[in-house]
Amino acid sequence: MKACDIVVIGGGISGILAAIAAAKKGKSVTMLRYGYGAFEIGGGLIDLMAYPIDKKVSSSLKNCIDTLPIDHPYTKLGLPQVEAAVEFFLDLTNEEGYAYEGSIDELHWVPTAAGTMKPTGLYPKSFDSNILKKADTIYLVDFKGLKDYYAKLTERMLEKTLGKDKKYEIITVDPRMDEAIGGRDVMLMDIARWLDTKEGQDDCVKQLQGIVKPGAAVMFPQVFGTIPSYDVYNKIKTALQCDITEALCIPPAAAGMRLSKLLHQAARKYGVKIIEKARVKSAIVTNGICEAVVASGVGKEHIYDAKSFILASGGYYSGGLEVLDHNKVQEPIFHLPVKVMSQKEDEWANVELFSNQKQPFALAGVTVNHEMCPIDEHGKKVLKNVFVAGRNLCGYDFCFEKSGNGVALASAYQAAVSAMEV
Amino acid sequence: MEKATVIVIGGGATGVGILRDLAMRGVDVMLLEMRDMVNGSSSRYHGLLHSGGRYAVKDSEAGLECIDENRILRKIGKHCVEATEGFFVRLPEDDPAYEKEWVEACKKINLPAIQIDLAEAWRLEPNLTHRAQAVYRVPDAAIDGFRMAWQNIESAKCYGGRVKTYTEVIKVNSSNGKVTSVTVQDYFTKQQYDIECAFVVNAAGPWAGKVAGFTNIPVNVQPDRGTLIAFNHRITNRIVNRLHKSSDGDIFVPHGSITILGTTSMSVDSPEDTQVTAAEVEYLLRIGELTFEDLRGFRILRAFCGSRPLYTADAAAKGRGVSRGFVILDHAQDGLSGFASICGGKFTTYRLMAEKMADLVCGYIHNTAICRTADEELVPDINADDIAAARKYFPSFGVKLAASRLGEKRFKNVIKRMEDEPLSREIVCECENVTVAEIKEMVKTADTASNYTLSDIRRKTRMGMGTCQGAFCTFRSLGMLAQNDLMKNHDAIEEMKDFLQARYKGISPVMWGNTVREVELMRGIYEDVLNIDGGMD
Amino acid sequence: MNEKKINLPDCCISCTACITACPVTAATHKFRGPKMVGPAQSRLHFADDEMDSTLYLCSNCKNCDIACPSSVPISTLNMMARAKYYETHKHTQRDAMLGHPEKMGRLLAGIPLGAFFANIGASIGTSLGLVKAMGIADERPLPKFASETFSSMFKHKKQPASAKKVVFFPGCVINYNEPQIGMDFVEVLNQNGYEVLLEEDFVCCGSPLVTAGYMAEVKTNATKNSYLIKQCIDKGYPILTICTSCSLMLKQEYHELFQDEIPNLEENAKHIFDASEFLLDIARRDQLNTNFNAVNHKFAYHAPCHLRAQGIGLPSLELLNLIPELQVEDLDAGCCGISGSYGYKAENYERSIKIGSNLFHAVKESQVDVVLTDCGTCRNQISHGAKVIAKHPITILAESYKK
Repeated sequence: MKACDIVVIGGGISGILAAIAAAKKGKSVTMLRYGYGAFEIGGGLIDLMAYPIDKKVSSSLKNCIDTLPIDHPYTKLGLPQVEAAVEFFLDLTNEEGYAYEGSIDELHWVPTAAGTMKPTGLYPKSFDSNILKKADTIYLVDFKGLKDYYAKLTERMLEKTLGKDKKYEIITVDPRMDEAIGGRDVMLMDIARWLDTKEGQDDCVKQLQGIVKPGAAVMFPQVFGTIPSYDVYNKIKTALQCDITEALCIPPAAAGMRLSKLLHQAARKYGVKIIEKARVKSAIVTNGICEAVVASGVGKEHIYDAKSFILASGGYYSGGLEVLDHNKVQEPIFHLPVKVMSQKEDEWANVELFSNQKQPFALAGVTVNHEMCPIDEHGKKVLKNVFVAGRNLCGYDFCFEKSGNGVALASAYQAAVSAMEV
Repeated sequence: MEKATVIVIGGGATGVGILRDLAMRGVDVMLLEMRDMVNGSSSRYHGLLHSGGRYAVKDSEAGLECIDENRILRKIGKHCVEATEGFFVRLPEDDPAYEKEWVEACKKINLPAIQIDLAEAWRLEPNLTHRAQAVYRVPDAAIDGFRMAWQNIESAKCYGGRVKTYTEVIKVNSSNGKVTSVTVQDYFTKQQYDIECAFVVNAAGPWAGKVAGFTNIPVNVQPDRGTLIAFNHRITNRIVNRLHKSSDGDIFVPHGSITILGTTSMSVDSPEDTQVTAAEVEYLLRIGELTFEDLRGFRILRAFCGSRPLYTADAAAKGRGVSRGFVILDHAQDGLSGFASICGGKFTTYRLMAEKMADLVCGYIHNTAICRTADEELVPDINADDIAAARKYFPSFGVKLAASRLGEKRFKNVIKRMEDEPLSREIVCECENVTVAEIKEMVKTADTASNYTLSDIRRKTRMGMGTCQGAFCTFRSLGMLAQNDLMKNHDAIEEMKDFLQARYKGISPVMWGNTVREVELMRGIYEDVLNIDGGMD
Repeated sequence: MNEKKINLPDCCISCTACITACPVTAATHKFRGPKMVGPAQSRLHFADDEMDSTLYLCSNCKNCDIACPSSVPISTLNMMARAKYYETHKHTQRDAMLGHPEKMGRLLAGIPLGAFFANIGASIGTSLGLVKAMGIADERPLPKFASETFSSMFKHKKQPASAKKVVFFPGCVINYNEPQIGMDFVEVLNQNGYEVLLEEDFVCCGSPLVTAGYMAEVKTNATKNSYLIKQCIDKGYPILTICTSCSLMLKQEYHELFQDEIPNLEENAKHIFDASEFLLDIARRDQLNTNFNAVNHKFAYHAPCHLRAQGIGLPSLELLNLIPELQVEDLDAGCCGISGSYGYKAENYERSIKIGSNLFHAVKESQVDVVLTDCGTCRNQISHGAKVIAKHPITILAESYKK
């Protein structure tokens, strides 16, 4: 008898979504995580797709899914399954009291600290650049001493993006962190945590109320608390009688933390067993079936057996894919076949970092079929009860396309479905 | 019209050395550099201040020259030279007969090369391979090319020397066979204007041929490329040389927080060809890992290259070789007086090269002052009181590093700023501990009036040169510049792209291991989250 | 990734995950954060002979290590930097006291009524302000010394003989402050057919010495303990502990600190267990004694940070779930704030309460009167901060067996 139904390798967004999807359907799930994923880098949005081919031309996922390359995870998954995954996610966030909005039908643009607009798919409603486009007056809120967000820079570039026919005004709020100024510096997390408290919320609102004129649009850095709830957003919005929005910033991202907490709440609620600091190093496989995976905990190895496995170990960042040498990529746990889009030395990385072509090193990854089951170059299943989800998949460049969490979500959902059928 | 008695073209080691020497002799001298200071060969080499060990066998005269200049530079350049000492290490692959020859040759040129016990060597340098057969200690030192240049300029300015960066010479004007002025173009504004002068020194290194070309005088400088690898950590606290006939990839030099492995030699067409290939990196690693077995386990920050200006005399030209290794060409012999080029040479002997050129120039303009560049320190010691005051405000481990790269006057300014404005103590670059105060100081005291780039700040402060290669500080520095109204016509997004592209250029040939993870993070922040290059709605 | 010690700080890509996870950074605006004082500044140590002025704030709770995707042993890098500082700077008397609980314990055990008088002394000292004057927090009751040590109690304990034996590493808290929990442990192992042996020559695991910066002493202790552990292993006996800081220290930190300097560390670690980890392994082989009597009570469980850092999940929680009628809620509310000796320092008291406030709140919401946790200092902090009784899970197991 196996210790559990499904072992999920990896506790980033793909891993945890797959774990929840299976646990919700009554399966016993153990999730092995090492590190905390990339939640606090990404900003908590679910980017479905924005630039399928060319950076200049944006498109919603619905409008371009049929034109994506054959290797693209979305192509393998198919529109119905992607839609099911999106529905699953929206329901989940709604249940947990921090409902996301959006759909695969249209792009939603959110403001960034660099004064640009970033297209996304599913989002918390506190991120909205439409309010900026509509407004005549935009207030940019800065915080005294904050080192990772600079309203003057944002204003300068926002003017270029939105045009000069709007009035821009910067207001600096004092978060009462003089102890940090000139010392350890004030960070975005500090402001978000300050706004977690009632005192912080009241203080912030009080400082803005005298200056902000009702009916205007107010832009904040990503600081509306670290809890998955709209309380802070609602409170400030109501008090100021303005449309307000958060902006995406450099890491760590408070909205990413909110999403991480939400998903963890849900995982625990549905009985997912989570083992931290568990780095899966290898697998025990017989006749194409994985019996168990081996995690090197501290000091000794730990064996986790299950009926099926979901490999959501991430990409280069988390170690799910390792680049041993120029152009040589390996998946270190199961040694699954990895496709590198080009073999020529000078095609591993584009000459330009910000290129209008997808980066070959970003496109590299594990090859799978429509069930997210790993396959070899002949299309034959390599392991029958292992399914792959997330960044380690081949065929997409999440930074170029703006498709990271979307592929994570859709592939995780399918991987859970496949794993449950074993 | 602006004027200067002497114009020096080229902001590399040679150029700044000449600037200082002439300024100290009371000459009204101005240096013009087409981009930012030290953007050419002088910042793109391994930074080894030769003890002479590498030349002892093959070229003992050059070896002797090195020892002398080594001693002088350590004396005058205390604040840009790290007296790390060096090892010469013989491996099983190296000819033991060469070791004997080398020891003898060192004795002949009075180079103190002391053999040490292998166990002691491994105690001092735990990463050194246990295959080492013999280890000798020599007085090698590491020199920071940037700091050396700035300190020469600091010193020159005290004597009235002037510098203009981002100012490219596009014409050398003359009348009746005598130089009268130069025409220059500002890189940012594209504005062109003339500067009157009596003498033009062509110290443009690998570009010397191009500059001489303005006057139709042939100077055959062949750029020869050397590739280097920078590792993220100090793998060694000493310079480590292979004890064999000098060849590629046989020097490791620690520089501050990083280690440099170099170098190679390859003829190229243009000194602007600075894209390293993965094959060159692999070549260097294969040699380097013989000395440090775990080398591939260490993260490579980036790979870069620079061009040595190799000079070959034209058969018809009448050069006057002042010393082995470098050549001074007085173009009066080619029909244009008031114009001279200096070619070849190496970093370690820059001061000597400058002295010889300054002698020539002074002879021409009838200045009889003697050279004192070997006698006076480049910059004075930093006051102990200033260091103590700095410790109150600076981030940990940052005081001495900042003091040596800022120099006395700017260091004082930075401390004062930090004292008066607590917000300026904020750390912008967390990998190299660079604060707002320091960046502000560098921007305000830049040698270019019209504009500056983020890379200029990087070169002067080490911002963006550490572990994250600009992933965080790119955004923070632009934000802080905007916040403090220090931006000029900058388009912040274009600055971000340019700066990160320049970082990436050195990273793309080494995209594996932890390095590719860093690039993933960089793309994640700027491309994915901030969408700096995507079309907008 | 290359796991050699020298390479690990090199793996840091500056992703800031550690800063986000650090409970001290969240609770104070003074701490630079684990990334800065650890891997980032380790690259700059060559430049100056000093210590980051905020390094003293690091509590060595290991949350940064748990969050790091790059295998950087951040907290250990911090502790090594602290140790370097103390190579050339003096410790205070307070630091000496907090770093050497074993010394104090041994001393008192050798004096008749030593523990009794020490406890009274602590009370009096507190009310006179002397404890505070020494730099030790007096808002929280100091741990009491037990009138009889565990090793003394153990000598009188009759155990059924068995071929299956385990060696117990009690640690200072169990030995000198809470010996009864050690006896509960023996009971549980006996119930499962194991005989418990005690190695009298074990010394303090070194965890409080690490945080206080006495690295040379840590190495001495580590050398001695590792040698003794190897001897036990050679006889076929696994080593069990019921203190999660001891198990982390023996299993992992010895290796992080002294890899290549002390022999057999990696091999030893394979035979060192947290007691619940060991019992759960037995359960997985269907060999656990499951004759638990019902315990009709609702508890809350707090996972010590040093347990979470071991990569074994929460074995105590899983064992408790085997007891009929017992309800236990996993609080999952972060660090309790005490982190070993950290919270006992006067200047850290408020901060440690702030760090633990999330947890205390969660305890209140759970409405339990007893919180279970495997770490001795966590028990002190939770009973004080959440005003509940704090027990070790093994005590509940023992009670369930004995009923």
